[in-house]
Amino acid sequence: MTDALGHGTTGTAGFGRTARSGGVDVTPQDDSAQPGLDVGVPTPAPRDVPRSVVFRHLVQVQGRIVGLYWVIVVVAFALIGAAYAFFSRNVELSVWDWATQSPKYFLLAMGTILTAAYLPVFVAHGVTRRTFALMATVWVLLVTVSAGVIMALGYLVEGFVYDAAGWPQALTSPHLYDSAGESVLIFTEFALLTLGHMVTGWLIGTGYYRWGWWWGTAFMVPALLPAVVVELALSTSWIGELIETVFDYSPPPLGFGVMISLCGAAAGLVATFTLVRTTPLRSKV
Amino acid sequence: MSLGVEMRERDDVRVGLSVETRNLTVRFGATAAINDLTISLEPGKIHGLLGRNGSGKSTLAATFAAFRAPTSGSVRVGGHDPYEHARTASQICLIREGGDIYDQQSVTCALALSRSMRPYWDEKYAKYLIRRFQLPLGKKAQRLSRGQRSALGVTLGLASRAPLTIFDESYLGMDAPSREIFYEELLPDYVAHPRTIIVSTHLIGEVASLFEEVLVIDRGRLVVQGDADDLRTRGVEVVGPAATVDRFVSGLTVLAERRLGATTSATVYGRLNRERERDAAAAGLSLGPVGLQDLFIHLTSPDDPAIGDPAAALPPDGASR
Repeated sequence: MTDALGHGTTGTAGFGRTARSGGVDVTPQDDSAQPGLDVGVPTPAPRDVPRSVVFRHLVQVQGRIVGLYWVIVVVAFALIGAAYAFFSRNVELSVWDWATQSPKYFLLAMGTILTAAYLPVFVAHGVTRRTFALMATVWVLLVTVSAGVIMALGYLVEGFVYDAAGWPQALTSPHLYDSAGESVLIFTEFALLTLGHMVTGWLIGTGYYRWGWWWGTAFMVPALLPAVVVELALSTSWIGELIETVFDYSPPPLGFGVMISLCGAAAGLVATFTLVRTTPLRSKV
Repeated sequence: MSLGVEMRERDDVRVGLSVETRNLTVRFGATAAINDLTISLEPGKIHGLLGRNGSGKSTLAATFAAFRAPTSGSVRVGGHDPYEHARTASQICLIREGGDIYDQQSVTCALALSRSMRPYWDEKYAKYLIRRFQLPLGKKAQRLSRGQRSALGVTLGLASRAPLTIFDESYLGMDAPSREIFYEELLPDYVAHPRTIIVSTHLIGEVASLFEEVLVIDRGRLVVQGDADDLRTRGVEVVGPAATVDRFVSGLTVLAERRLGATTSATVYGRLNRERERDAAAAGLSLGPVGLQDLFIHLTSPDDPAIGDPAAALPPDGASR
């Protein structure tokens, strides 16, 4: 094909292509095994990307990391417990009680990567931010509820071992519960603590992804609120002990504290949802 | 009749999504990456989105694909605002260089992700492309070379068969043989599965022959849009004695001028009618075509005074400025 001024329009740079889309002179390559050239086959109707697919992928990509963390925690504290039993003359303290600190910080870290690591991939695969945010919220709830269940189960399993050996299972940290057998309170404490921290992590990570280093760092102050609210409302562990001692703070009654915690986490989720819905994907460098 | 039109007339296959913008502006702080852009891209064609580095191509592609929302104005893909419109978003595939995939996951996992999310995904074709590009299935994305990563992105884009597929400089990291595979695959696959394809690039020489429509932007504003063949006829190089050339091009839109001794070569934007062609021949001037790439270079040259306002740079068809 030539244009009105007589210069060729087919094939460039010596590639010898005989095709150009505006003409009919299309010559596929020699490979006769090429699939997919089934012209005229009706195509499926457009559909949304199913939410279940989004959730499944979130579970696959972050579930492995979270699962590995719990395996490490369980194995590590089982070994610590074994060493404690082997070397100590008087076993009387709950070893699992020492495992109560790291989950909330680990899940805070997991929250920070939710937007930066997964939002671009999902949006690039045709998923809306709304669907991502909804499914990530479900994932956060699943992970934090699981944390509460695992912590309660840990105490129960340790209780069986201690009972069989005739050891007391004394708790050293301040909690909502007084004994390792109060599974509902154990679940409540850790589900809420991890929820507040993971939501805070997600909010912090979204702030950094959206605004970059300086404004993202400034945004950390309000982003910490869900975790701070839950910590103040429940007032457990070393943080609660510190606040109560230094500020002469009295935590609210349990039921009210749970309500405040849930409201704090919900407000954090709403804020995250709102931010994610309007966050542009970063340019690739 | 172009192949794209023929395909659009078929009712048993999908033919791609149209793209329209109205007064589209995208700002990054005080900088307007896209500035009051109004364009319309027909469905079922291969469009070339051309512009220099930093001209706004990637921002425009990102806006088409709902990677970011406009600051003002509107975008319509298939008649819908693609931003947070689930049905539309699932039909758009924007491949940036290297693709948006998990660095920690293998090529196999990247294919599985696309398979599960892309409604028109062709698994056989994806595997075929993986073989053609010789991509290692078990290797993590972060360990792929730049070229392999680009090839993976191109594979995901082609096999997605998305009604609006956009390649944003997707193949820059690939070596020449791999780029040739991309060009070889793009056209037959487009013919077999007509859809709207936008190829954004500043390297025009290799891909110019693929385009049916061309859109040139510079500094976020439209410089020229039109049928690729038509654009190829809009540039004329006039060569001859300096004084004669100067007289001949007087009143025409001169995009560039080079002098070598007593000889001048002037690139003129616009078509010359037969009378002007006869005048040139009579004056001893030679007329030659200007390739798409050369035309692009001239149209987006920072030395061109018209580029001070790209949207107003060119008269419709070679008239005097």
